[in-house]
Amino acid sequence: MIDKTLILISAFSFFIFVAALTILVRMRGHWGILLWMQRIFLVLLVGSSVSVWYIFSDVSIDNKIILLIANFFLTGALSFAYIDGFFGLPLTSLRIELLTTIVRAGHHGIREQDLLKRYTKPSIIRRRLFRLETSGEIVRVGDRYMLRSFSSYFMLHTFVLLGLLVLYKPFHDKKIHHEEYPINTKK
Amino acid sequence: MTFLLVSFFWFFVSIVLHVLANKMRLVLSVSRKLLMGVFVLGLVGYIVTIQSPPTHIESALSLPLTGIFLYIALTLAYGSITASPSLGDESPTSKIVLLLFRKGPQTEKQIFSEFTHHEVLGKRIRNLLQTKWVTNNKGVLKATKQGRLIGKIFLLYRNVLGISEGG
Repeated sequence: MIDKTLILISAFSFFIFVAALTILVRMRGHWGILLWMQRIFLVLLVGSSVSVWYIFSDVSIDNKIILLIANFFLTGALSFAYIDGFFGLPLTSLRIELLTTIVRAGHHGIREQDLLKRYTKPSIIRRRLFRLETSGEIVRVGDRYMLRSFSSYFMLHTFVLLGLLVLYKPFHDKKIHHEEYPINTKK
Repeated sequence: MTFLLVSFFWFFVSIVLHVLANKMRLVLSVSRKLLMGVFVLGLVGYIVTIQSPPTHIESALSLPLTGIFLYIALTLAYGSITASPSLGDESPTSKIVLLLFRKGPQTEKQIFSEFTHHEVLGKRIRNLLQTKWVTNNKGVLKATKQGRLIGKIFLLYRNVLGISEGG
């Protein structure tokens, strides 16, 4: 019974998180919401932990701590998987943006040249610079961009990704010639 | 606590096997999707282990189902963060942050010069073609059935969020 109840509490917390994020984006738009996402998650975690503490009031303190740890990891992992694997994709993934543009073109498809006119290297990078600036990760001083802080969630995320890139590099990767996709940038 | 520790143990074993299998991927000629099967094996390992818990450990707290869901949740979280690195992709946003970290303040022009067209766009179009979500027929890009399904799911989700454009 404790097992199933804990899973239900964690699942419910996760769904509240999803709903709260959806409302947040609808109200504020999707720029500069990283800090708000962290706040929502913290509030949710506290609420969820308090629920676990009181719902399992007849359980010993030691076991309550175990239940809190389990709830933290279960809710945290689900929330992280949602943000990184689903929520973030329609907002920030260029691959998904290219795909949805091609899908919206319908059965006729879209000429590659038209796609490349719409998504240029400068426009893509400027969009990312704007996102980083509104999230408070970087700041523009004069004509230069610089990091606002060396210790932020996104910095941690970036270093983790870098580590994973190194870790996941296959053996014999250097022997494979990585052919570039031919992009004709001539007008 | 035992069930949680066993769940974490099998999750870490799965990660190690997944990393090793990915590094051997080119030698073994195995697809990336198949390699995710390592995590299925990890889950089987957890289920087999909890069938016969150590009898000398007495615990009033039995959480076998929580252990299973924890393993699945951790796998989903890990899968979401390793999706791009396992494709060899470094996101442009991460690259900008690392560039500013390593080289200090940069102008827009300096940042642009760090990226090639292939890196920003070509790789992504090629990936869409390789995953067969999109086809390229004489310079016209069209979504496949699978690509249309995935694209429509994300378009629907964007409508729910009230967003017209992403990327």
